[in-house]
Amino acid sequence: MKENKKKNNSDEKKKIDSDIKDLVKMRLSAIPKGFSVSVGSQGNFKVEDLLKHIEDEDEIGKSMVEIDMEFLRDLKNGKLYEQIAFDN
Amino acid sequence: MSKSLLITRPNYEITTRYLYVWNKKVIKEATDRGIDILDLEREKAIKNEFIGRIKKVNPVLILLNGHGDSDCVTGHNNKVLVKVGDNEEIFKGKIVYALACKSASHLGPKSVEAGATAFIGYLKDFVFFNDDSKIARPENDKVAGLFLDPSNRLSISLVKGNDVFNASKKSKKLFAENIKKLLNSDNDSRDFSSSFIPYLVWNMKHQVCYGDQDACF
Repeated sequence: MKENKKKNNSDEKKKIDSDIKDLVKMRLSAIPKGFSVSVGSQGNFKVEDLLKHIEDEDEIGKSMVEIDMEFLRDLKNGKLYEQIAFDN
Repeated sequence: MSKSLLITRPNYEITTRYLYVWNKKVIKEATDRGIDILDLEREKAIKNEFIGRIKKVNPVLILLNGHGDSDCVTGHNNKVLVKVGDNEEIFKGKIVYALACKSASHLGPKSVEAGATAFIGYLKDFVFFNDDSKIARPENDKVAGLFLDPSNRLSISLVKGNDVFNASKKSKKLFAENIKKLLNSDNDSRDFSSSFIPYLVWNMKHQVCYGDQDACF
């Protein structure tokens, strides 16, 4: 049982869950054509091209998924509100 | 004797072009304050020039704009300016702000170990969106401004003499203000600007400062 669990965790690291990919792609699709994103030294990418990068799970696709999922986790556990709360 | 700062501004593709243009505001602020500026722009942002100017003029504040990785920051044509294990001791006694991806994860702590007064940077990729119709005039790109104005706030706060801790705090506060502005912008169903929020949060939470938090320029 334990071994199975370990194996599943390892598989999760290799492949991005298709539901997660669809979610991130759907959220990015809200941005219309005509915008690009610079992601560090990975380059400048048209927003509509990001969907393919996510599908292909290349470095840029993985980065976009990581950023969006981290945001959604922070939103869910309330950390987002701590992060944007500035008293003065 | 007037204070001096060194700024690198490569400009060889879209990302560096935006940083190049946006930092004109920082240079203007510094100029207005009578600060000597060593502006390593475009092809001057190369290692020999970078090291030579620092050794000759000994600027207290160094603002790096360009690409980077966990152990380096690059200049013109993505050529390395400073790298862990090679020349991070060049930052000894200096306050450094690196708008360069991931450089705070390894170069930052190593620079402080090697004697840098403080190092502010990003643990992960710095991400920003731009409006393709504004590429010829980046300074008019309000979308890019959501991301790059908070970075400028940090540089300008340092130029104004704020300590490292407060300069970073002001930058994060502007990120937060932009996030809140976008959170309240979805009254119109055609408004997509809240889609940028995760990327603003990302930049804000991964900005860190090492070294002496009370250090001032």
